[in-house]
Amino acid sequence: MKSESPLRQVRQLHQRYQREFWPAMAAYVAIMLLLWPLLPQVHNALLKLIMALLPVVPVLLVVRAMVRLVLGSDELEQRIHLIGLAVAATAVSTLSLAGGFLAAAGIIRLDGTILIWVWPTLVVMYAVGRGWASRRYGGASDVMCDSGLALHWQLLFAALVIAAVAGLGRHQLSDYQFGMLCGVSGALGLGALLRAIQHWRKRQRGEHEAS
Amino acid sequence: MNNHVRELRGDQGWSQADLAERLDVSRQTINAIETGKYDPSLPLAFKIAHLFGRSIESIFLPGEE
Repeated sequence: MKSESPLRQVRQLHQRYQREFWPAMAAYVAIMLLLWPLLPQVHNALLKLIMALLPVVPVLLVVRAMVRLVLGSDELEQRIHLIGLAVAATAVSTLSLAGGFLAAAGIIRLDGTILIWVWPTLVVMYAVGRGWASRRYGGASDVMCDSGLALHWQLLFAALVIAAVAGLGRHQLSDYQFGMLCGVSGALGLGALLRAIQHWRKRQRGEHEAS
Repeated sequence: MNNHVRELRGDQGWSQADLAERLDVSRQTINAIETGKYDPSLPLAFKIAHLFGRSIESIFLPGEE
């Protein structure tokens, strides 16, 4: 039996990542916005503990998806992931250190809930670092986006999902949460538009050079 | 490090995707090697040399320090 081509395998690897990543992220957002606000009303200690730790489950699924992607990548892609991770670790640890010093000096006040932001910040910085490293090696800005769906469509999809969550959870969300979700959705939508324009201009240039 | 991968691939009439398939790596990796942006690991360099039936030192040359 003829084995599948590596390029096909690479695409399937990225498609599997997208299939595993997005539902887990959607579950995380849904738990945080729809279930977590109910926590103060729960008085059973065990149920409260389970509900408090529930967001960790989709996070672990995301980590599993990332590990499976990295393990299936070739040597250059693994290096790009490693650079992304190094950028993320450096940025997050530096920010934590700066925040810690500011809090210790009494300039700002931080409580324990700030820890919730460590993982999302790490993931965002990881994506930024990975995109930067990928471009340095002559690739696309995002090594994880070779899923057959262009990045602008992925950004638009994420913007629509977040907008839908904001709309559905409007009555449970505080004004701050609702405003933040609308802002994130708008920023992702703007990013999708800019990326689409960039993509379109690149295609126009390519067609112009080919003619 | 400089290399002759692009010329050798051209001689065989292979695209970057064809070479990537034969070496079991992504097309981005082939492109990065050919443009000198990435130096392959020793196992991959041996694989490239074996595929083209040449020695490593005849394909990969030390660049200017």
